[in-house]
Amino acid sequence: MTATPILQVHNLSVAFETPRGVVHAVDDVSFDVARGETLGIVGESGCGKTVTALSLLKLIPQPPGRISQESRVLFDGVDVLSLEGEALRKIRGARVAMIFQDPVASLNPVLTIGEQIAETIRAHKPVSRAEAREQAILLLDRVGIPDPAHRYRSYPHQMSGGMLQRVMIAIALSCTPDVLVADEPTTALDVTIQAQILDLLRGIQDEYGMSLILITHDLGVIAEIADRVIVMYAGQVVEEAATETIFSQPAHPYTRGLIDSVPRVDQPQYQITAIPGSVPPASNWPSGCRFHPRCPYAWDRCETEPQLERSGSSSAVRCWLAVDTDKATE
Amino acid sequence: MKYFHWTPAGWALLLVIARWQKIAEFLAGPLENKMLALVVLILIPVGIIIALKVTAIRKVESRRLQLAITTLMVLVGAAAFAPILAPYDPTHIIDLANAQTLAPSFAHPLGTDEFSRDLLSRMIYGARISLSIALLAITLSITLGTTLGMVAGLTGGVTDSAIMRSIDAALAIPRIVLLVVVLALWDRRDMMTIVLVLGLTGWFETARLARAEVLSLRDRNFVVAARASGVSNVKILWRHLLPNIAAPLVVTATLGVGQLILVEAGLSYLGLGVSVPTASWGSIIRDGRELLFQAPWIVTIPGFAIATTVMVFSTIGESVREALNPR
Repeated sequence: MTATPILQVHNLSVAFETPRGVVHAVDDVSFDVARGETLGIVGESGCGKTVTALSLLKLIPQPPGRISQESRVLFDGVDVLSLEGEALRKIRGARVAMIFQDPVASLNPVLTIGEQIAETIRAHKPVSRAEAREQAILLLDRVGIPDPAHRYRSYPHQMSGGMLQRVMIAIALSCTPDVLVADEPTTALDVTIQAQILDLLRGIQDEYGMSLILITHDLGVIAEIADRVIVMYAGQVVEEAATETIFSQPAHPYTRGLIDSVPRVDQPQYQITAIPGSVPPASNWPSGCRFHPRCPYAWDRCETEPQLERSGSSSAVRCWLAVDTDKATE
Repeated sequence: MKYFHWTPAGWALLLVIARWQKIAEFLAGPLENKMLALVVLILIPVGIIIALKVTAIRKVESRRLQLAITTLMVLVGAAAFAPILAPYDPTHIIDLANAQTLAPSFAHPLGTDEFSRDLLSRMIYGARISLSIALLAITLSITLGTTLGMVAGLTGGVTDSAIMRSIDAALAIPRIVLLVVVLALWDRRDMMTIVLVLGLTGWFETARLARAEVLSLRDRNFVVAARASGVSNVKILWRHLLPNIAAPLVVTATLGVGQLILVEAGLSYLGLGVSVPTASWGSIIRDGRELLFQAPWIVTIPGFAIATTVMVFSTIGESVREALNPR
């Protein structure tokens, strides 16, 4: 990963103005994605993963959303957040594509699935209706939908969730994007279907050589396909590391907690330990380290806010334990 | 062919034979009449087929609807083929010197009015004016209201506020007062003037409805997903939102036609409709009001026609609402 990253996110902060005050959903998040890399973003519900994903394509409705002035989302050197109108539209779907959590809700119920794929193709390429239709059928075939020419005319309600997620992937693939953002692509699906969808994502990523940002709360999914992982908590990045490192040597107590709360097949007697409590509401983050009220290792220094400390090229952690090694060995 | 009946077909054939001369005259006559007739000839079967398909798919109780559609087709047919069907010129005064109101007779099936003009001919030509005004005005107001309402709903912000506040302001003026004032300013009112005035004052509620529907759909996932794939705002409005909000709009439109026929009749009654001597149902009532006791048919026949038409459109609107209701 030596070349310039295809996507660079610098100091992304997103807030929402609500009647009950300003909600800081995402706070100073930075990360890079190299060409062809798979980046996993993991965290509990409500920690800002989806807002981060939507911000990458400037899909946050403003108002009530507010992306801070310092935020930069550099795609191929261009700041997506500064783009407007037609320039923005040309990136969406063509260079950076997105897959959402719930495929049933993400497709328009009154249009056939084929029309919705063809629509994206025609939004970006100067092709005729018939050509777009042919390309759409090829895409349906590529994502593993049987009898694509017939399925082209199906409406979303006539297909299962797994099939619809394949359709969403076909839409995302239609213009061979450089970056594919998948926001919880398997959460709404059956376990057996999940594996198929992940296989499909991995297959097309290899085939097209694109970068994949995979957002999930499922560490199993991360272990399976991510090269590098970012752990988010309460709107902040708390740890960043290569996938193997995250699982073998989790540096942040939150990461450790997440890993410990996954049931393990290899150790039947293993007790699952849950992280006590839940993510605090985004309108009222705890002072100091945002994790300290739930942290089993919390000590007095956690009252002040730790910074994200980089160690090496691809890992970083936001925890006083990582700074104060004496305390860590205690 | 299930819905094809020989009885009306036989009547139509008889009519063609009986009024052969009129048909020849009609074919040699002005082009716009022929175009209108052609459009209606195409629209009638299309309308029937669509209505039957919808009711068949949704299993709506359809007796009432079939009756309503049949009645509507008779009315629309009469309006379109007025030059063939009407026995006399509707504005022709048969005998100026001895102008008198004749009771219904064999020569004048519905009698004549006080200027001894044939009432049946006036009714047939009046259907033309009343229906055209209502249908054109509703098309205009639904188009305007939908476009502006959807734009307001989708863009939000300043555009939204500007459009919606203007609508609030316009709605503060009672419509009938506005209509009376505006129409009184025209010295010669032809059909298009009335259509424009009715259409331009009737779109406010539709705009509100369209905006509300768009607001409820705007943040739905499929709209965000379409935007994420780079679909333009215009395409999102036209292809993603419009089909999803079509049902309530169609209902508003059909119910609105009945409303407009009433408004137009009211305006004509006040003398603010299409200028004399052109007949519309409302103006026939106005002409007959002084002879209410001597010649009650002059008022009752157009009144009955107006009531029937309004009922027909209400029935169709209700059925469409029922058919499109997901529950």
